[in-house]
Amino acid sequence: MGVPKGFRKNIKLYPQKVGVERRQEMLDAINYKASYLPRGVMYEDMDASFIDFIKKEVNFSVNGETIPVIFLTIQRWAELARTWEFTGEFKDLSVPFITIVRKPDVQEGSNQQGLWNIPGRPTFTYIKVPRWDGVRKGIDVYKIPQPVSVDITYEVRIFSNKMREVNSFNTKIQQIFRSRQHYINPNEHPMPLHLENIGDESNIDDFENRKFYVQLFEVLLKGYIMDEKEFEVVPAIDRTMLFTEVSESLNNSPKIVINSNENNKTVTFTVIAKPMSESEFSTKIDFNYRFLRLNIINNVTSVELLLDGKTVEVPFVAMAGQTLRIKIHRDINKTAKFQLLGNLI
Amino acid sequence: MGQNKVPINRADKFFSGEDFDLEIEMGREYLEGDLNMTVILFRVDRISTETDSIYGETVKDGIRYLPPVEIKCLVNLMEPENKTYNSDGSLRYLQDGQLTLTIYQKHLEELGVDITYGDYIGYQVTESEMRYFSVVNDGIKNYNNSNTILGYKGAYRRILCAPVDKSEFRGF
Repeated sequence: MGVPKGFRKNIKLYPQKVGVERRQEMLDAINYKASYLPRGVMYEDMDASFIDFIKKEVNFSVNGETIPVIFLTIQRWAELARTWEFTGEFKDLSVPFITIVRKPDVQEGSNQQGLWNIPGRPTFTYIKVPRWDGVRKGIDVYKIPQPVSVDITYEVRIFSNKMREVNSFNTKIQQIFRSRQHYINPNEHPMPLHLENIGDESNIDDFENRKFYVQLFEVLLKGYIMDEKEFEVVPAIDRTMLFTEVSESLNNSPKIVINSNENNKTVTFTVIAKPMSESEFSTKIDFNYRFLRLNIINNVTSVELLLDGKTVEVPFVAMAGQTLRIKIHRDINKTAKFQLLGNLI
Repeated sequence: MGQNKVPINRADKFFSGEDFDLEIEMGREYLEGDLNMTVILFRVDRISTETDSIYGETVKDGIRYLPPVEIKCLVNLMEPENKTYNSDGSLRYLQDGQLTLTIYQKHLEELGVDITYGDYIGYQVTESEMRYFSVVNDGIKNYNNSNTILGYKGAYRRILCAPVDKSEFRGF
């Protein structure tokens, strides 16, 4: 039956996400049905995904019949196990068929453009999950290491004795890789495939033998390994104790500035008490003074003076070696300032 | 409806089906009666064998085989080869030589078995040691001249086997 005019395939019924939303969608896909951590990716996952790519995405068929795809290893029994259902009376595989061989020598990865990896094996926070153990609330930190980049080369060969079949397969592969790379998703981790080379290994030179075409497609997978054994779940800090040491005494005595004049024998004690500084303090008298007057400058209600423990009032005489104790009544939140004026004796 | 059959009339002036059968009978009497050389055939059970889901390789001790069958045949075991694991000549080991079996097709038909590529063969080399081999050429196309009697029909099969490691198969 003919296809109606204007027939369209791949109608997108739902809007496709782009940009940041698309990136988030890819991240969500990695976590889908996972236990907060992404699923690991190992070689066998990448191999399985590549086989699926050839079988389901390339899905090459001839005259409506899907061509067998055989992944080959060195074990003979494995080869038989893969091929027996496609063999005939003499147990020979008949063309056309497709084989996949993975080169066993997996190379150091180039999907980070050759940049060096982070040294050591640090793990990085992937997600923080709230936790409640019945007593305390907390958070578990799920951490993963940096993935290990690997380059895996697959050799895909089509064996056929018809040029039209080889053309058709070649066309399909060229169409898939027309935008340089094609992504596969081992365990939902997107990884690019590059078509590196197309070769010909056809057995057509020996005209006295059986002839058939063999076309080789060398495909490079720029993948990475994420070993689930390296994942970590560690509890975050959920309770801290904070110690603060305080002292009852304020080690912040008022400042006394002594100005003396040798010519007229006058002396001025200027007392400056900053906010929150001590209001009661002592000072040793160095010379003999006669204090005559108290000059209050700022924020002082009254001043009590004790000379060797005895209350005194201006004017008074203080001899060298005596201790003058000063008690200031003031607003402690503001700077207080006053002067004791006198003469040298 | 059965398959059409065409009678073989080659060399029928001096050789016939009866002669062919007689030749085989005499040969078997010598091979199975006088020589009495036997090997054990382990046919892999494709259904029960545990294989790796991706690579198709057998898992350790995962090979399940059908009941072993004793087969009378002419055994030709080549000389062991002195080899090394490393290409620089270090880590030497002695690898069993290839095993070639010559078996009358009629013998297999009587036993009701066939030998397939990938099957395993056990050969008792001493009273206590059995060596194992994997079939690499089951010789199923035995209609070449040398496997026929006077070019009449294929009479016997020549089966080529390569040694296998015990991590792959260890029989009994």
